Amino acid sequence: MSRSRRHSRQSIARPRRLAAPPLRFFLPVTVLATLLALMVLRGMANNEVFHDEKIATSVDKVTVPTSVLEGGPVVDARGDKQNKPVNYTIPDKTVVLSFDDGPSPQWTPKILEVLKEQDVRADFFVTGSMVTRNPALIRRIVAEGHEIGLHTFTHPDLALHSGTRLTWELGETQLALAGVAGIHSSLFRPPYSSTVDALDDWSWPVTKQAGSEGYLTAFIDKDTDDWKRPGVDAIVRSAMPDLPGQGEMVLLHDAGGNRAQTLAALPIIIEKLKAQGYTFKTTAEALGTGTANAEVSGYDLWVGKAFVWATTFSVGLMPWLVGLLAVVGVLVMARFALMLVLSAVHVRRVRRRGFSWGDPVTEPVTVVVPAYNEQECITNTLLSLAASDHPIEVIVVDDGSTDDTSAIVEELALPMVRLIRQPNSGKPTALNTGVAAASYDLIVMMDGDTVFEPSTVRELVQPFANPRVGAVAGNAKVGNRDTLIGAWQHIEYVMGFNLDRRMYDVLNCMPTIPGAIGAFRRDALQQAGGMSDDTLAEDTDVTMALHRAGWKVVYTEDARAWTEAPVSMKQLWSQRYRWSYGTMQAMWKHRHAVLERGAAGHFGRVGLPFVTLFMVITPLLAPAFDIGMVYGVVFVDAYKTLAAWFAVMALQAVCAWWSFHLDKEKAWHLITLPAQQVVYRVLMYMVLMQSAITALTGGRLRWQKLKRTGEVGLDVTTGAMSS
Amino acid sequence: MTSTSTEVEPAPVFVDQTGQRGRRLRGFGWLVGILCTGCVVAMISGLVGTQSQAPAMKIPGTANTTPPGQYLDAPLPAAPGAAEPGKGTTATAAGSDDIASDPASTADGTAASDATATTTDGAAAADSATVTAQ
Repeated sequence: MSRSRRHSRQSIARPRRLAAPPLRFFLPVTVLATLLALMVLRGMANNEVFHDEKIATSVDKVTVPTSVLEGGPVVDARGDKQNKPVNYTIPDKTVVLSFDDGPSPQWTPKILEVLKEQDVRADFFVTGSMVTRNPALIRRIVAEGHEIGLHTFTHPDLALHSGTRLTWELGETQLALAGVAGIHSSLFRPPYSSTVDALDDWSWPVTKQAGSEGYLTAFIDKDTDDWKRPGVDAIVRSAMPDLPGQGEMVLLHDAGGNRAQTLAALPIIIEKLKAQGYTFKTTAEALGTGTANAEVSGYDLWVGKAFVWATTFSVGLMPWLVGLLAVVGVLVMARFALMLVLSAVHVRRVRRRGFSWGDPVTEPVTVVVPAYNEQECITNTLLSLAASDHPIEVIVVDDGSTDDTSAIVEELALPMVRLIRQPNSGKPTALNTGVAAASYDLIVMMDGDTVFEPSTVRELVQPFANPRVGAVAGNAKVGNRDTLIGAWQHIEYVMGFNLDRRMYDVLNCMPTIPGAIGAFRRDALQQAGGMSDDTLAEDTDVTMALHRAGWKVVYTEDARAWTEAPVSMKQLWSQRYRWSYGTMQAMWKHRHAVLERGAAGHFGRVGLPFVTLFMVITPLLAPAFDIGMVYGVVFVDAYKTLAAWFAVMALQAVCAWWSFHLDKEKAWHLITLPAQQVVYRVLMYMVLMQSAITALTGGRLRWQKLKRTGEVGLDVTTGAMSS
Repeated sequence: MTSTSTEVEPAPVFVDQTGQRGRRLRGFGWLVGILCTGCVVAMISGLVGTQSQAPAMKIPGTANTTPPGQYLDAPLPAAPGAAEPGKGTTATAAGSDDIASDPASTADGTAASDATATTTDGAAAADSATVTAQ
């Protein structure tokens, strides 16, 4: 949205809203932080956060004690055994069945059925992410007497990660277990581990650290390779002991893919081993003790429950949120496409050879210039009007200026200029005063800080050849574009006028005629009730009223007005705050158009939803996209996320380049586009947030006047003419 | 104009003369903000300040610590092929008379089985078996 206009300060005793509450920072920040935390929780449950599938393949095993390499599958490096680890062997005629990577809702219940039928207890080495997604299964596994061991939260190869990561993985998994089943476990099996003699210099520190945190690390004796789906026979064969009667820890998987072969092999393995006189035990039982699972209570229990609740909530909520953002994203992209297409349509229409609005409009025009403290700019404004190639009268309405504005106007003594003084009563009233005093039926409104080209007025009124046209929007351009903030607004204005306004023109639902340059029929203005001070955006208000009265509002690209854009962030902020709040007010004021018939209904059902969607709702949701990006960069895949971000940026650059091309502007200002997009997004959603809060709470706003320097001068006009 | 004139003039769009709506909403906003803060603190403490220490577990002295390589009930003589193709624990084939007395052969055997053993538990956690199993 780009337009240029300015309000005089109202002296009406409207108390200024009290100092802004910290709530408007506090609330969005906390909501966004909550959103990010929920995203991370959901990402952890879906094994998206910190997920990688890199596997370390090593190397020497000089640091691993020989006794460990040659010992049994359970390594105890806890406490005083840290430097003298002990291996436990599964006793003779004993087998421990262990299932990794689960629980999976598809296969684990079937495996539990088999174990129940055979009256066998086994070990389940579960991952935290699967635990948070399948809490009921964990409770069932525990209730049926099996033992739970930790297989980390995200299943990384720990040899590639830091000790802190291992601590985190263990802690999160315990947290999840406490939350779903009220237990902690003392058993740990590193992902991608195997037999104990496969330990190497990279994986041994993991086992040692697990020991220092109090865990027994359970490796295996027999790897069935069931995840490779080698066939039921092969799985059964490789689960059999090397030597009859030798105890063994067998590795199977109950998740991570199709486990039909595992499921089929399981009863055969159990029956064969039973026939050889084997008994089935859990790891702890095999070591001669009760269980490796301890019940937790108190703080650990409740923090675990809170974790699981929050995770479940986020897993349930996120699809809706992602769906909403996807819809918004698609709409935004569709809007880009629509803008590109409709702006091309508009350009083809108005630049067609022989195009005209009708007979040339040559009747004289009244130009109304409301002025409040415009001493720096008014001279340039009036001199530029004096050069007009269309017959005009100029009415300067001095809205109770406290500076030399009136004196300057009188001193210039231009023949076609009339000066009307009124006590300060606001811009809408000043405009109404000017309209009431106008001698002609076509009225151009401009700001006191805007400079016209000689052809501007003539170009601006040509559309009135069409009797249905009630008002015309001109093309406001930023004069002071040499500073960064000026260049940004230049980009914004060019995009706003060449994409948005052309699109609105084709759709026949232009929401705003810029205060810097607009032309009206006197009849149309009267029908719309003149300028009103119901809102802070009287130009949007009157444009909507014109639509409802059935008038066409069109855009004419050749009527250029050079305006002075705010030069500081603070001024830009207050200008945009006023626009944004005023637009909301105007939309609310004209909300009943949605249900009206005819032209009003068309505006109400096409224009209003469009503006609401893309000027209010989309920018308000923008922070959610940004949070999604932070999440993507930090927790998932920085390269892919940044690639997506740059793709969107490229699309915006294409749109910007196209609009510059349409306006015949030099493209080099676009080098600041990336920074502009970042800063403007933040600015716009902060402005919108504040406007929305002010609107909801019913607070009041003071009308703020921008500081003027008068730097948009005639030289800009002549420069533009010569180019 | 003074404040009395604001009663004559219709209130601008959205403006609530009484301030009642603002107070209520602001109160509600604070409530939501504080609730969110609580949630965030809870979630962050759940994400960083967790208890990673395993519960104590006493292993009785009776637990079997005999290395599998010294499995004494091995049959005599070793069945041919029983310890054949890189089947994990190895020294078993040596038979009963020189069980693990030759550390070199044990080490060789284990080394040979490494290449396969290190990558065997490749069934990655969720839904990625196809990727890792290639």
